[in-house]
Amino acid sequence: MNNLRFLWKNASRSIRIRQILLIFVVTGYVLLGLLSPLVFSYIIDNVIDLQPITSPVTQYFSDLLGGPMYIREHLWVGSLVLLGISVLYAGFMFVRGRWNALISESVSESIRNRLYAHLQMLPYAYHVRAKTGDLIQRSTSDINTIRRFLAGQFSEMCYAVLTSAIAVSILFSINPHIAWYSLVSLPPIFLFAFIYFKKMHRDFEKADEAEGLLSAKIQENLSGMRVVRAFHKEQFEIEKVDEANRTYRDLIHKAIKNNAMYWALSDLLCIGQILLIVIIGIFACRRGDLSVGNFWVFTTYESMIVYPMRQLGRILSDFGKMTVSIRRIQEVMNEKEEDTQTGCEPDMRQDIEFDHVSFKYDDGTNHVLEDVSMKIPYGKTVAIMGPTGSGKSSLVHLLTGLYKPTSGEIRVGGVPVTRMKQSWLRRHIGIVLQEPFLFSRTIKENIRIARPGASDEEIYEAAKKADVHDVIMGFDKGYDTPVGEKGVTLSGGQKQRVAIARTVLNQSPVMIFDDSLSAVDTETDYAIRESLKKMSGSLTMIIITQRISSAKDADRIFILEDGKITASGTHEELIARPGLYKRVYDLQTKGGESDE
Amino acid sequence: MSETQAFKEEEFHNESLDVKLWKEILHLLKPMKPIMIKVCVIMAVLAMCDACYPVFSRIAVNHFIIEHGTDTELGWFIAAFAALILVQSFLVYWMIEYSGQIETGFSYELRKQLFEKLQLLSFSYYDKNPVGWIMSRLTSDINRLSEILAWSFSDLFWGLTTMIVITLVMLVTDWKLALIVLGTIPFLAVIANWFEKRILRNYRDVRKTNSLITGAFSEGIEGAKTTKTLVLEEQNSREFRNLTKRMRVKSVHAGTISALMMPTVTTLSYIAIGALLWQGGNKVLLGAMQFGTLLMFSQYAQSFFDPLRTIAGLMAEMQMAQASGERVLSLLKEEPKITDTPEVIEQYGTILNPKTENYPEMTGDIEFEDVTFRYIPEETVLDHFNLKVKAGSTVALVGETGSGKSTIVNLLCRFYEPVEGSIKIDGKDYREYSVGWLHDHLGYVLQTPHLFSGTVLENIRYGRPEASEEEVIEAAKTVNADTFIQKLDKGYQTDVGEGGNRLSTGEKQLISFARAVLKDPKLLVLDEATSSVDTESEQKIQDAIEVLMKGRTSFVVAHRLSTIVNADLILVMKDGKISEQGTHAGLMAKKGYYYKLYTNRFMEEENRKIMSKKENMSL
Repeated sequence: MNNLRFLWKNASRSIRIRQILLIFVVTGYVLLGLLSPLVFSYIIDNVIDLQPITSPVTQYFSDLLGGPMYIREHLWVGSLVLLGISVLYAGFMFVRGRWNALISESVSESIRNRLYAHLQMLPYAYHVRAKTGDLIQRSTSDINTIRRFLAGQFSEMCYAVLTSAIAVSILFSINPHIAWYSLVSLPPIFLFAFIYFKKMHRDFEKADEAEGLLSAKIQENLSGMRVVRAFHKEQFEIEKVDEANRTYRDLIHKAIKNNAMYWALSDLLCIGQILLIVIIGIFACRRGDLSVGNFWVFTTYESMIVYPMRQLGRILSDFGKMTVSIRRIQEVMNEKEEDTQTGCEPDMRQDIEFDHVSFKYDDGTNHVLEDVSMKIPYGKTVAIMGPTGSGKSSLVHLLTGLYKPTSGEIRVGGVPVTRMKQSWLRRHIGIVLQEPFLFSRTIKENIRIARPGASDEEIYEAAKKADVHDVIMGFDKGYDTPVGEKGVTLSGGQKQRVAIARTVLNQSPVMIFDDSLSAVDTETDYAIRESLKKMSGSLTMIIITQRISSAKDADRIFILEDGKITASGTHEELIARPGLYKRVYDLQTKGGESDE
Repeated sequence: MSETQAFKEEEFHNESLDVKLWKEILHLLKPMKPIMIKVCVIMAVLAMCDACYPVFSRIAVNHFIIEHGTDTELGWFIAAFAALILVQSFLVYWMIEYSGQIETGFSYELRKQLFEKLQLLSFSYYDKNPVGWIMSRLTSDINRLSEILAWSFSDLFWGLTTMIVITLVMLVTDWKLALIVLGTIPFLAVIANWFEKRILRNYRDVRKTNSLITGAFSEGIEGAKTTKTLVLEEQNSREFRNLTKRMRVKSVHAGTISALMMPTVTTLSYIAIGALLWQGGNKVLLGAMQFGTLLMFSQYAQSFFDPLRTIAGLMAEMQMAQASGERVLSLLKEEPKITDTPEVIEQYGTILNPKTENYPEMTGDIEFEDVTFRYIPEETVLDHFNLKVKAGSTVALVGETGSGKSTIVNLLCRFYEPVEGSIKIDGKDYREYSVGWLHDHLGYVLQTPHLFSGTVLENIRYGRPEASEEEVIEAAKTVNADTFIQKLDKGYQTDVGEGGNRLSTGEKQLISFARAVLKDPKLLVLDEATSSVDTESEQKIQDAIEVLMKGRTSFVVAHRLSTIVNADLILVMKDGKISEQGTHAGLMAKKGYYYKLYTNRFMEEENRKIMSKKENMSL
């Protein structure tokens, strides 16, 4: 029930109305489908055989058309009626099909949009933990399962239930004794389909697993081809893959065998039921209990019931999949979104202050940062240096509000960042991550993404500052070169520089480079910092680095070790006293002389 | 990945049917011929069974209800009907079972052949075709092809037989009424063709849009962190909504077209049924015909569309599977560029069937004599290159990424062959030995260690499957791998996971060393890793490398200073050429390119040591 409520919630008003109307459409479709055998029966029994009409409903319609005698003279009237019914029937069939598509597509569109927007709004911490593959699966194949249910299975279920209910009642009104016989095989057919389909499903799942293993083996072989060749193991690999290939073949073959069994046995049941009603019908006719027309109605209806009943079993046994899918999507939807829209919007061209900031991750035991205090005056350049794992990146995450400090406070111009509107905060603090993500579109679009209104000139300007303009111009399509899967593969350094251009374009008053020049060579690193420095005075720069060359020009350098600030000062001050900075520095000078 | 595939699929798409291609594909099916014939026969008989049911209704009505046939006759009728059902069920079973055999057997066989081919193809093939691209040939292309071959062709038999049988029965019974029904066939054929084409095209459109959505989702998830820092949440969601809207419009369009097909067909067949009722009904009134016959015709009037649709669908599906067929065939036809001469094969056997008993021992003297090499015709990478290496000595290849260090390695391993000149092993051109012989004496350690899923033991044993467990442990000990392996939860029986990804890079590296040591090769190629591991492992690896090189001719793509300094010969590569060569002392004295490279590398290494001491604490 919870599941259906989820679907209902994701439907717009017009779709909800359609969904309800769809049940009526299916009813109409069922009724019209059941009508034409009745017309046949009327023509056979009452028009041609001239038997008295027993049902008042038939009498009414018969009179309307001019009575059996009139129709007997003009049989085309009957044909026209039949054609009229079939046109209406076809109309309902079409509406049902179109609405199935409309409803399922609208609902899945809505679920997709909501899920996507929700994923965008989930906090940074969620995405750090999240398993990408699993999330993508939920967003695609789970939604697809729901879509399939709405696209056909729902109305198919209605159809099966309504057809059997109405057809059976009509049969009972014709001849209750015989009608009982028309029901004999229905429960076994339903149960057989339900149970066997589950079994087949398991078979196919096993086969899928085997296919996964096979693919993995092939993939492993292809990506390790050099090892295979160098070790002369081609024959061994062939045998290994052959074994997996054979397992997969046998499993899928077994699944197909079961599938064959399903169709053969269920056909036997279904047609057997029809045979039963034919036999019972013949005997009844011979006794005079049933007219030829009604015999016809019995046999046609029977075949209109058994197959949907088999289908119903299949759908219901598949139903579990949809509930699982809905649950998996709901799990994601229930995660709490980050609030990026409320809070104050203070002036960001101000000093930044870390005031006794400590931090540990929710699931962590140790403090990543401990009692960190520092002041970064507006317009100055600050470098933070420290070994891997010393907490440098956490510092940046706290400043941009991606995580909240466990204790202490970070203020910009005296306003705590936690009180600010987070989108405001982040728009004014540009950050270049160490491994930046480029979207699969053109380079130009990737840069412009930071400020959609930017002109081409501004983009070129930003790219020049990031020292990547010439690289981009070197590509065949220049700025229109697509990045990623379908386009060129950029090197780590090129990616970092495009990301820097992107952040430069954003014109934020604070810029953070989170080890984001690590993949470019020292000369380029220098050139970029030089061109950015020209912007300074209006720009606070925070450079996180492991290189002394990147740090030494900063107005102030903080040394972070084990989550604590162990030293700070200018380059000159730091090389004057022992410590990590001096050790690295000495090494460099020594390195220059190391020609033995 | 799926998007790239969809993208490339389109490139191959071709509207017309390529008869030659399908002939070739059918040729591949030859071993399946007997079973294919069985399926076709079964299909034809099944079609006849299907066509029988209306005849039975006719007999039931005409003979047993209206004419009151005898009870004995009725008994026979029931028995025949029951027999028909039984036969049909059996046939359905065998039809599916046999088709399944064809599908699974064919895909198994094809995959096997392609995989064998892949084990023999030269590396120039792998340079041109990315792994994902090859994978899709071995999976989705093969699946699609075998599916269509197994199911669709036999459907054709079913369709044709159904139509022929029904037509005959009707014509024999009453040719005038038969003409009414047959009159609908041209219309039905046009409808079937029109719809099938459009439905498949729409379906493809929808699939393409769907893969865009999948792409957008994965980008939205993988890029979420960047999105947060750039505050792109709303912008992304807006763009995504455009995409899903497009998806809905396209899908609803596709759904509407599909929803239109059956109503059109139903209306058309009811026109025929109406006409039957009118004409046939009059005949019944005149006593020229009985009800049952009329009913039979009305049932037949609805039976023509399915077969027609099957036939139309087959054409459309074949068009779609054609691209798969082209790709699979092109891989099957690909020939390895590097092969042994017939004389060599005569003596040493092929790669898959080596005559190891004829393999001579290797001493390990290597000589590059006047070697010229190019990957592509326009660009010469090595130009009349000469090098003499005595057995047991170490050659270090130094240079920046892309400077051509791996070319030397590729040539030495005979992954590529010189364009001119020759490479001599123990004084004889290595092409006079077999590839298998060379690789049997070669130890190869990759920069990014590659392990295979399976246990640690199996991985170390990879190069020498007959090695005892003691020997494996001994090998692990010599490269300092034993200690950490013992600490794994199942020791040497620990499963390393796919590609070895349950182990750290350093651990994988040590295991790949052990693998090389156990093989005890005369010739060793070592591609050192650039990425840093923690100091402790670093020391272990350095020690292991020394052990590894002892007593073998070694070519090392070197990054570690210790390896470089200790080498007997250093080749300094720049822009694909050898710019300097000599010993460390000699090259340093020259103060040239090597001097610069070395000092930079030295500083980097030391800096890294200081900065990475907290490596194991990083998140």
